[in-house]
Amino acid sequence: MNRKSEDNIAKLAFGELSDAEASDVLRNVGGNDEASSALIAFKEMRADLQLLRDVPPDQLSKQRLQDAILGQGLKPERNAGSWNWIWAPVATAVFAFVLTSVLRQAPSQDPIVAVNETTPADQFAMFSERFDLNDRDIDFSPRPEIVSGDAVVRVANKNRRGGSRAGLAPTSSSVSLEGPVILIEPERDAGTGAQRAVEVDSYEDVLVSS
Amino acid sequence: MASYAIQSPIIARMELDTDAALVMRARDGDYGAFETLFERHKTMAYRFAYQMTSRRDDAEDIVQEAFVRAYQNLHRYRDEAKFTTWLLRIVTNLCTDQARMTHRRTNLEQQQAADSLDWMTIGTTEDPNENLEQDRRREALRKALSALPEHHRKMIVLRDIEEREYSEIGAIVGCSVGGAKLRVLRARRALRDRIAPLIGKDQE
Repeated sequence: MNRKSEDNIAKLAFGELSDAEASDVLRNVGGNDEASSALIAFKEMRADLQLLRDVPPDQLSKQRLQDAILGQGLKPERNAGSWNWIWAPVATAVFAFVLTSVLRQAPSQDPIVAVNETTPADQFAMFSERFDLNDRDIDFSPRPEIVSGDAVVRVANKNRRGGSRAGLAPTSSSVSLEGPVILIEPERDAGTGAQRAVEVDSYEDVLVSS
Repeated sequence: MASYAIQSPIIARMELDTDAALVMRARDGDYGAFETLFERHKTMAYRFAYQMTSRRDDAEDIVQEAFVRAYQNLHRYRDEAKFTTWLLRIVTNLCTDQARMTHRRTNLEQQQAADSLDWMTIGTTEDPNENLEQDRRREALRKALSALPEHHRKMIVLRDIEEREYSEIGAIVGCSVGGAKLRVLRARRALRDRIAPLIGKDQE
């Protein structure tokens, strides 16, 4: 009996053939002692295997399982497909958006252009009268005059000889100097013929009088 | 993923208690859901492990370890597969590992393990002679099954004892349906070859 025949007999014994296939196999088994013995053996094996389904009762318990899980220090694993990972890039994007918005809202001030039209003597007279200063307290370097809108304001450096700023009070001018200050120098550039301009980093270094 | 179109409270409750729903809840930290899975499937897993090992203690250890590993790897469970298939795959692998570790167990130990099954002596018919014959055949079958190589034994257990479908068997052992059918045929031939000498020896 070849292997294919033996397999067909096993399928027949275990009920895995269609009616037509079973009829064919039975026809070949008939009259063949070896095939008949094989069919009987497989049928008995099938019946006995079914009896092996009964097993002694187990002693598994939920407590025993829980102890085993806790004993290995296990914690519930989060699903890898959950959306928890998305919060970091979302938070970064929100922060970037907020930061950009805050920066955009910062007032952009047009620079204030100051034209230096005063002479040192004029400036000294102006400031000494107001602040009760003498020529030993004042820096005689040219002081620019700020032109802001229709108002003309005079500007002086706050840095005096001696270092102290006492006595130099801010003006009561209504001109607002919150933005950068561009000081236009009276001298013209030799190459281009245009007046030189100097940008003052902070208006706090500039004293305004009007 | 099951849809949760609620038609009635009873149906809704049933859908929430499916294996897939319990796995989802267990993943989210509901240990009670995992305990429900354990209670629902531990007997099935134990029966398979017992058929593979023929020892209750070994079978219980394997089942417990299988559930611990299942709990540890819930995030790897794919919802499209049945939970029982996934669980039996873990149990099968553990049985294979155990078989490798104990393949050098002496014939005497295996004989003792087979003989410890006193509950098998209870007959199923009134005729004592027939009971004796049944017990003899069943004992021979048990011995032959235990002596089979592990890869044959698990096919016999899955198909001819636990009566799993070939598609599920293929998913458990990692082969096609055709491959599962072929492996079962080879296992049956091997088992028959081992039984015949034992039955003949007992009858002498």
